[in-house]
Amino acid sequence: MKRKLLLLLGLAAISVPTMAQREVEFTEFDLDNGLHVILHEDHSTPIVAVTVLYHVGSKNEVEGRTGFAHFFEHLLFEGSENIERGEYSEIVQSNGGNLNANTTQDRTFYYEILPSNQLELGLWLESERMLHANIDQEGVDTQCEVVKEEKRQRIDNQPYASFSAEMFKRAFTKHPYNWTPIGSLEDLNAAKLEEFMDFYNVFYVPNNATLSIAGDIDPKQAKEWVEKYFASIPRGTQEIPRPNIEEPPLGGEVVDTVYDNIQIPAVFMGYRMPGETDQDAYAMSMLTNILSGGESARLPKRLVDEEEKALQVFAFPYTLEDEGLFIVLGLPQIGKSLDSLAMGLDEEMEKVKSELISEREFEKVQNQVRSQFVQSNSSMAGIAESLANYHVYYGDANLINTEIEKYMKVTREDIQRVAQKYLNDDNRVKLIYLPKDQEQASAQ
Amino acid sequence: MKRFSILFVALIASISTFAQELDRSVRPAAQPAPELNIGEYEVIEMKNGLKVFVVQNDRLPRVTFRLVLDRDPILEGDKAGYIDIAGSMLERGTATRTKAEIDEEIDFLGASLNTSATSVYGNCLSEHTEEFFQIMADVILNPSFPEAEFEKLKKESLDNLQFVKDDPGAISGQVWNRLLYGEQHPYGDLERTETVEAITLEDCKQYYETHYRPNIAYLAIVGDIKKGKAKKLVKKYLSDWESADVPTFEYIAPSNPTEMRLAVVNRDESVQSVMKIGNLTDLEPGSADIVKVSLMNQILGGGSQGRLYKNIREDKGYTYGAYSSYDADELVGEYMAYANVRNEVTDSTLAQFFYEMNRIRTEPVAEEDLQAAKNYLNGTFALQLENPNTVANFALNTARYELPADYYSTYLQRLSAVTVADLQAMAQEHIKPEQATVLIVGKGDEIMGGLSEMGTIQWYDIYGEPTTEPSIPIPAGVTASTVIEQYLTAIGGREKLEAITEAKISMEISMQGMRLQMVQKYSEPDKMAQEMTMGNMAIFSMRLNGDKAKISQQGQEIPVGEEEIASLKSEAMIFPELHYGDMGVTTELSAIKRVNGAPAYEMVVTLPNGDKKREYFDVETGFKVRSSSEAEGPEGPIVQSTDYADYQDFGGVMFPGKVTIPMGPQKLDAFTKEIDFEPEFDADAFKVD
Repeated sequence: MKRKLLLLLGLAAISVPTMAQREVEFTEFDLDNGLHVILHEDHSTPIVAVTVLYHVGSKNEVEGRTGFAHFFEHLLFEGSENIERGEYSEIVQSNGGNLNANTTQDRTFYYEILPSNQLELGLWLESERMLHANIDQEGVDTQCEVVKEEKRQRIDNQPYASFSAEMFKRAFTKHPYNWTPIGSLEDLNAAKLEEFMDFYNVFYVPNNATLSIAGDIDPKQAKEWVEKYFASIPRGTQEIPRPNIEEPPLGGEVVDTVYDNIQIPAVFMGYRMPGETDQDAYAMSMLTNILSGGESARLPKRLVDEEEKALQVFAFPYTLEDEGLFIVLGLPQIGKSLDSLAMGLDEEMEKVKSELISEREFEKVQNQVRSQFVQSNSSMAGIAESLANYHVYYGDANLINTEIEKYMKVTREDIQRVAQKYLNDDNRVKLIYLPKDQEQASAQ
Repeated sequence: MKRFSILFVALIASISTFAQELDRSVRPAAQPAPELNIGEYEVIEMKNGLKVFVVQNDRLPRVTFRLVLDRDPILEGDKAGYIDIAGSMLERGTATRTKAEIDEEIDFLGASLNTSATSVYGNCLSEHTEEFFQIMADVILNPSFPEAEFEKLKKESLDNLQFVKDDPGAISGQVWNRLLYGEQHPYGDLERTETVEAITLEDCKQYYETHYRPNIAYLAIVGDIKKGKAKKLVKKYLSDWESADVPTFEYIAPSNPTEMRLAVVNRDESVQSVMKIGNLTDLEPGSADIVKVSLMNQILGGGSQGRLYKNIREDKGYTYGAYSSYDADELVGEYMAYANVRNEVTDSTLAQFFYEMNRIRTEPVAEEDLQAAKNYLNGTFALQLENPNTVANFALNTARYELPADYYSTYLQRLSAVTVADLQAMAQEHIKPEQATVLIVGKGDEIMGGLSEMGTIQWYDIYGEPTTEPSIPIPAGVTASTVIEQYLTAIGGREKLEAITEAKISMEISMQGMRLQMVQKYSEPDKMAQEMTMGNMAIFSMRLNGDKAKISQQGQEIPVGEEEIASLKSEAMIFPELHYGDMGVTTELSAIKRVNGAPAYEMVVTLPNGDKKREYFDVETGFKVRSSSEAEGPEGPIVQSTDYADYQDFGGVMFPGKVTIPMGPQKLDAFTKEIDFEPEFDADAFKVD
């Protein structure tokens, strides 16, 4: 057995240069207006991903006007001075492309994936969105209705889906991570058109954006077109507000009950953890794998397989720019006790704190991380997005090639250290999800 | 010289900047279309019948394996769920590995492996290819079916059934299949607690023994691997897999309902209606229709450019997304439109679905819309080629469905040849609004009002079993007597009504273009008359006087029995609710139901002779809106209902301006013309000879 292990270690060592050969090459430059541009050339398929990351998310919102960032993700498909309402996606699709967007607490991300002979079209579209998007009452009214339905479909009508809002509002009381991107529908209803326009003028400016392009491109030609469409967009004139709020320590465990439309109860725990660029975040990420990376990981092996207490158990780092939450959750098997499951989870948290993980377990986690790292670069859209993320959050787009080294720097002792530092009761929010019919029972 | 050239360049630059003053209203034109290379695959045929497709692509150092079984669908019936468990059992232990060992080895490689009833799927870093494939082959060839793992999986299946109850999407999915395909078809199979409990380990072993055979299997190997190595691996690890005859199955094809059916699953917690509208249709993989249907569907509801999305989301704001889709299948295909919408616009959305489905059937689409859809599908065909698994899927489909070898390489040509007329023909052929099944999972009491205007609602439970209309709970403190008091107050007040002892009510009925007059006369406590005439012709007359009664129809006298006299006497009161106590009538509230969309208290009224009728009082206004009784019909009892509507003031009393009376299978509307509460009756108005 030992011999085999050594052999595997040897293989791992050889594979590093193999992987290095498949480096993602890219070029970067800034336009005078502050727009950061990243280009990655890959001719294997005649397609191109054109993406723009705006460094604005729900954490840039102010209380009383939550949900703005996500709302813009809808609004900015409504057209521009040169694109009629509803035409934006029509143009993309009738030219053979796909498009979409998404919003997090930290950023809003738009993308088009086009046949590569339509790169110029994609750049024109994104430049129109950045320069003079169409923001009017009609668009606001329609998208307000749509966002309400989005919330109903994705959150209100889905079991347990309220957990992230419930978790964050308790874990962060000062920092705007207090609310999640979907925000408040009342806030959106109450907002005036001018407020939407202001938000656009402040945040949707080239100096707050990263244009990342990956695919079958000629970088020289691509650069010319980027300049053609984006160089004339004026730099934003207002300061971009970024919350600089130090969330105080939780100062004691927060325990609460949420009644939901569910049959099976659940326990959700969120431990405060540092932002994603902190070196500790890498150790926490590997800790996730120890706990629930695969069926042999500690939580499913013990609580699902061996003790048959849990139907599902899961740990994952909800990492964000400023701070994050390390989420651990469990659903008991029917007829099994939620308390006993929660206790089992607690014991496993204690175990990673009190005992160093084994060499073998450590090696397993390293293999998993390497495998995940390789898979993350499987599509042009994925590469473009990763390049933009690495640039914006870490200031280093080349992490797309080198971030694995940061993981490999993590030691077994680091993993134990971060477990001891963050996985403490007084640093967590614990939510018990119970079926709604128990609410009345407990009220009586 | 050097200086000159710099100047020259600078000059050109400035000129070109000037000349290129950007006109943003001009959309950039496309560059010449790039050449599309579908990619290549190699085929290895093993002696045991296993067909292997290898797609080499070394962009990433990983390899993906996918084994697929091509067998006929199997009807699970009262053991629904056993095939899934059988599939999961493969990775739950082999002759030489426990589940924990399999998990540990796979996780250690940073790989993944999943088994199901018809597939085994996994991927790994290419440096681990052989170690991984050895485990995968072990799982395929040597599953040990440990009892303990079987019990765990069964428990897990049972527990998972609980999730379905909370998930309107899952409910919609299972009821949809049950409604469309029925329980005699494998696609209509539905897992329930009792079907899972009936599963035995032997069922699962049997399934594996019978169906996990190389002669019906395809294995796709995609990624950083050469054909030679792939062949060596397969030979080394899968040569011992023995072929055997695998049974085939045939099923009676399910059919669409003869007319639109409107099915609702009530879910009180719902804040949105999960809607599906669709029909079965004859559409097989590889059929010439498919490329045309895909374009037609693209225009109707294929995405954010679809008419459904533009209409229901972008124009009306009813939903986060409205789409349509088609499913080609060797047994029977399906066409479906769907959306999740807020409760109050459920009926409006349904109307829009039908509008769009009919429009694409009856109106040719614009040429430019067709072209846009072609461009889109053309483009997405290219986009999916980014994933090397696409080529493997093409190879798999070509083999499974016996498609022509050039099916995919000629796809774009076939796409560009489709015409506007083709699209309309496809819409007419495959979308069948007249025979549609509509399924809505939502909050019954909020949506049924509007929906019942669009058809008769058939209620189902979450397992697709017919059920009754959901009732709304009766608020605390509301009883039959409070409802009666509310009614009496609403129509004029107890005091005023008690003072009325005589009445003459004149109504008019129009029936097939003819006008009938109906006059009802009351003189309490025991005199009543009813006369129906057309012009001067008496059609019907009834008189009750004390213990005697006389009924004649079109001049012919009809004998009246003791029982009928008793029954008539119970109706001789103008406002019978005032006298229930004296008459020995008992009342009980049973539920809140909807009558013509509005919630109404349902009251069971029991006469002294035991006859029952149900009366309905509007929750809000207090008015009586319906009276129902059961009558014997040719096929068992049928409910006959008289509806009261349009209450108006007649001499200080609120009285229905319109009464809808059942007349055989038809309904007649009677309109109140005049009511006299101080009538002067002729001496023989109630005379019975």
